[in-house]
Amino acid sequence: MSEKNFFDLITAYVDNRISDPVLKSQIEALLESDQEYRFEFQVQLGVKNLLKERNLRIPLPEYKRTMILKAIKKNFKYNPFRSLINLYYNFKEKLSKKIISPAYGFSLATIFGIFLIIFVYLLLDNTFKFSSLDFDEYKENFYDASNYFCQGIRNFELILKGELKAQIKSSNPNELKKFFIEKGVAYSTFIPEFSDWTLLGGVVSEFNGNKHAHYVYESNRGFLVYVYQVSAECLEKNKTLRLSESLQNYLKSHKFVSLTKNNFSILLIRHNNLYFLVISNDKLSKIENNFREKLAYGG
Amino acid sequence: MLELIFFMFAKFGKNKEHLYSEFEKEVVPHANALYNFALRLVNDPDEASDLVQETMLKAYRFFDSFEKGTNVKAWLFRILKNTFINEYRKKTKEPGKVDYDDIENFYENIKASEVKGEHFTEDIFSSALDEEISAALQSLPEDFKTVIILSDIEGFSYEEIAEFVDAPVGTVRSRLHRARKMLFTKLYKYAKQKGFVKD
Repeated sequence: MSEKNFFDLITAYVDNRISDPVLKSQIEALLESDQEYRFEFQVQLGVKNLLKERNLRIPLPEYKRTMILKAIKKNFKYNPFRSLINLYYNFKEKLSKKIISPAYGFSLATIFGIFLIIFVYLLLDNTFKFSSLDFDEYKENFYDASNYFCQGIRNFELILKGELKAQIKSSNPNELKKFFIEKGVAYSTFIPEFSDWTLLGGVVSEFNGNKHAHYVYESNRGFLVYVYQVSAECLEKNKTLRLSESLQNYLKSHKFVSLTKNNFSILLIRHNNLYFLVISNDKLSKIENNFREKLAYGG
Repeated sequence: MLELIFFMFAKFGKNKEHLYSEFEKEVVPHANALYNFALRLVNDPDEASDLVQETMLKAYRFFDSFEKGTNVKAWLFRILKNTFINEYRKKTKEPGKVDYDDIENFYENIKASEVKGEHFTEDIFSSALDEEISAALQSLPEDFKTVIILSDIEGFSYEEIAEFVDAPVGTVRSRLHRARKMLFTKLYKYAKQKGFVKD
């Protein structure tokens, strides 16, 4: 056996993994007679004991543990797809035990098959996939004060500094919608509700004679999600607010675009004749997932 | 027919309740171990808790298919590892590559000069601060760090680690041997900087 393998065997000896008594006594003899092997043994045993004895574990902070358990409870309260599958198998089991009718079984399988196809279709529908923005290609959008992007980023910076305050504080989307109408927003706003984000309130701004709706959510982790919502007409026809045509065209076919800039996660969405500029200090994937789920499956 | 559907919904709800209480009993006690391992992998407390959250969500999703009586901790660690590989590894800045030959040469030098002193290793271990051990551990390459954490902190067997890292038991033993040597070398450097050992 090579010296290297013998050194490895010292590790096995330290971990009490040598079952062969002959080999064990060979190792012990070596440890007695050879300082180099003894040194190796001391190192291996010493590191093992050190890591075992010192309590190097940092406990999961209690608030994070609570948050995780809440998320589990919330996420699995109701999962329609999973419920359908489970229901199907339970139902099938009951049928086979009680009713025993192959015809029922076949019809049921067909119905569930249709559900499954619809589900997969929704899942694969590429209009709801996000794509990342090539910054250089669309950089004109970032340096003009009359630009939708620029205004949104500046607004979010002001919100974070506490310099842009809500004109209405409410967690009720209907109240916010009513407020937007009362303040002269001429288009029908869309304010989705999310299980892990709470609406904080909204603001109405005026630019080039048009009133625009803005609203803010707070995530359950304390991040802010700001939405600047304008009508497609304002950007595409009247052009009272600017957004490059190339980006508009891109959004007409792809619906979503995402990027990170200035440490902000940004989503630009075109949905039902509305543009949503979503800016947050939370992770981009989180923002994407929430909006994908909400806009793809309604809400 | 309606009765049957109501019965099944009720039963499904009851099953979910039972599943959740089983999950709380079996899985939640391992949250700290998962968090620690996650923290060593991603080196960021927020990312680590996200990784634990995703691991536990996945574990819950598949909990009804988990074979009761088998090693739940090993199962959870495998989920965490796969989640890390799929979603986090790209983002995580790996510690700089360690040239093992350098470590070996350094280690041989220590041996050559200090092998006579019986208290030499003891001095190094007793002078090591917890933060230094953590930093030394953190600096190890991922393959070695994984093996030494699972073995010496989490108490997994060689076989469990072999399954986890998808390598033969001999490789696990060899990596563990090297990982302990690397860690010792780091601790020696700290001890030397503090003047606990001399050239």
